Amino acid sequence: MGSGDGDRERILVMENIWKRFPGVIALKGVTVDVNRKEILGLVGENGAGKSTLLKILFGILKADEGRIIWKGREVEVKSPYHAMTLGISYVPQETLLAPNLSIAENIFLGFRLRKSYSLMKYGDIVEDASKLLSILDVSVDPMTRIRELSVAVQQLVMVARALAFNAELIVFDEPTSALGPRETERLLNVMLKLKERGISIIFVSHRIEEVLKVADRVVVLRDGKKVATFDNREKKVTLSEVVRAMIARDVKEFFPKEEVPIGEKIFEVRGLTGGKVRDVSFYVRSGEILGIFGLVGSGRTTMAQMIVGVRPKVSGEIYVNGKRINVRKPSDAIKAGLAYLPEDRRYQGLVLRMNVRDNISLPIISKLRSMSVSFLSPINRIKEEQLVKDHISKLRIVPPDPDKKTMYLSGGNQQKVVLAKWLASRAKVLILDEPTRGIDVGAKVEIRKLMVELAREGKAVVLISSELLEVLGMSDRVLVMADGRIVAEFKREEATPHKVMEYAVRSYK
Amino acid sequence: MPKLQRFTNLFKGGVPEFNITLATVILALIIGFINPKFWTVSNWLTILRWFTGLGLLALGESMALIGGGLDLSVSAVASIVSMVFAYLIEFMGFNVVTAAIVALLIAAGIGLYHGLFVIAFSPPLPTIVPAFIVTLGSLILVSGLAVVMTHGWPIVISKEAATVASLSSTPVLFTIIAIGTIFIIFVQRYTVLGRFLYSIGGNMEAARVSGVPIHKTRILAFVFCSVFAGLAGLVFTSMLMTGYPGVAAGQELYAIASNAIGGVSLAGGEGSAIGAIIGALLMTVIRNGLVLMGVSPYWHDPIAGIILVVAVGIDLFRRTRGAR
Repeated sequence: MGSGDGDRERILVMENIWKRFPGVIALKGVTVDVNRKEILGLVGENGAGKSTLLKILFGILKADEGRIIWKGREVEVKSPYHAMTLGISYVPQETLLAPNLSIAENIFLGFRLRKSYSLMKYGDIVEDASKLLSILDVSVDPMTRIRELSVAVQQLVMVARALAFNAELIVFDEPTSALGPRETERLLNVMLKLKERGISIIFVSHRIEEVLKVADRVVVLRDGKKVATFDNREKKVTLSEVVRAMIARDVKEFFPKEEVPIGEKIFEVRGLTGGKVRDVSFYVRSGEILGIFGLVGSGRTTMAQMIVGVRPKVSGEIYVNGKRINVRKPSDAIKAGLAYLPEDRRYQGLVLRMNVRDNISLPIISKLRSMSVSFLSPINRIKEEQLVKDHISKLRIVPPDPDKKTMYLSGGNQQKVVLAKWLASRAKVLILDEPTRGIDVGAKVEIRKLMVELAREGKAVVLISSELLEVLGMSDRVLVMADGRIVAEFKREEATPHKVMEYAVRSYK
Repeated sequence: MPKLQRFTNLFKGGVPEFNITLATVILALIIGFINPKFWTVSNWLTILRWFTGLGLLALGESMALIGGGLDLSVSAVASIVSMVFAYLIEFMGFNVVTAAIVALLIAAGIGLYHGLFVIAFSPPLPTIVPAFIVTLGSLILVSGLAVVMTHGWPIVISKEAATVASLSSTPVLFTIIAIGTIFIIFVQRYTVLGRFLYSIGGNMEAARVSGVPIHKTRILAFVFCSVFAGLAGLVFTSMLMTGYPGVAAGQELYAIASNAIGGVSLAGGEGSAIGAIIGALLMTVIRNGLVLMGVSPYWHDPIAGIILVVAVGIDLFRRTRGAR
């Protein structure tokens, strides 16, 4: 608009923030400011300090040095609720809503529904909830229970809650990782709408392209310091520039695919049907990376889980090395040499309370016996330790301590542990479901490099991903899945983002 | 890790069992100071007798808890084993060994029943929900059956008395609890079953996806628990020389308390039998101390209760504080 920079009032300044933890300095004198009516993108690898900074903003942690200036006045944020009352709201990655309560109740929880002895005027809150939802273009009945809603709508409920609290600053933390392309568009539009209403936004995300679509400025954190600020008002900042600031490496390394000799068919699926999946058939050859792209809800995970016995299937045949195998439970698949890296590593991938060693050896623990006494067989600790140490170093898991409980590892390293456990099972066919989701750029690249190594070892890799560029960058062949069916197949040379997306977004019901 | 850090780490909960061992030792010293009779051989024999029974219950319970479940019926299982054992010896002329085996098989059967019920409903429910329900039912049902057997009359053991009595002789008691403890610790830490159990207790779904046999493992955990409860029943029977339906009554809660104090999380997946057994020792020492200090017996339970809440509270506080 017309006025110069000097007029823009800064609504939030986090000034010279230092935070130390035993063994690591998470934030080294970081200063971040947000202007009124601005969308600020905050990016950086895991461990760069983003979440620590946010936790300090919301009073979950206390800074060792530095201060927070909100609307021109220094404040001490005592708790997330306090932050909300100040006008700073948080929309986290995992929506913090009560699933059994309705939208309206969730929006006003702890706010107008706080004095337990006052009578609630239901009609009022339902009406007010409706108004808020319509600002966000959501046309769902406010009396609907949260658990009946999709993740995308649940997120918007959290935004509505922020509006109810008259938020002047809303922080979105990785909001789009669980959303499909259409829902992401919708959310980005909501952000722009909020900006129009005078609300500032901090958009924290690993999806840099999305951040660049809406952010006015982008701040890059690296190793606890602010290393770059990009002015993106013209929306001309490139992905490459930002990534380079984030990882101080060249972005050509982003998709490290190399030519690998491809051999015979070692894995085949025929006529797989069940749930929403309909008659899926495909094959993978040794040394090949087969990419499967599809929007959220296209049935990719369902299909993968049926192949490895995590979910029951109605019909379908599975062949490994030409031999038909019968998979009724996960251990059948493991014995046949299949591995499945789940989409949700915290839920299905790791036992967080167990250490790295126990997690890695879990699928094949029965093979690590020193004596065979069925269930009471003692474990050959020496063999196990060797196996675990080998994989820790091969995957460069940090910290390289087999005794560390996995819940203390960063997202990227947790994912490496999950990968390690399936590599240790000597699987010949690896089905990776969103292997680089929710982890930092550096780790993403490492995992992709590992995929290539696996292919080089003659394994078959199935890469299920909703990151179009990743699928196109890493695969030898690309399958497109929609409405539970395989609707297109492309060779690496033929596949373009446009073609693939075209097939993915159509309806095949 | 530098030596000093390693040492202070012990106190900070790096080895959770260390704190309660220390607490037990300090408590023993305090009680012994107040009443030197604490240090007599006969007192320690008494402690051994109480400790063996509770210890066996706690060891079995730890298997159920680590797998994410719970067994409220251990005292009832001890009762039925006691009654069946005495009945077989006294009224059916069985010899001690056969009677013991039959009685323990019944205990195993009860464990099997618990396991089957649990796997029928979990997943999707978390293990502890059906476990709580079925073992609570057993607690009532099985105790009732133990009473029904003789309409409430205890069975005094006169046949094979010498053999039965020898079960609770000091060396035998010591051996039983020592072997029991070593066995359970070995199973939990060094066997495939132990690993499966911890993974199921920690995250049943991740364990399932990793190929862990979640049904067989949990059934075995419940069977272990009930068999150890049965062993406790045999020990109690021997101490009283009577088959008694009220044997170990109320002890199931102390068994769970021993585990809680010992760091075995009631949520599953954490802690070990080492903690459980030290917790049982601590509870026994507390009870012994209360008696020696002349505290009215009516106060024993309330005091034990307070100590339990404080001890578990400290442990939980220590654990959650780590999140900051």
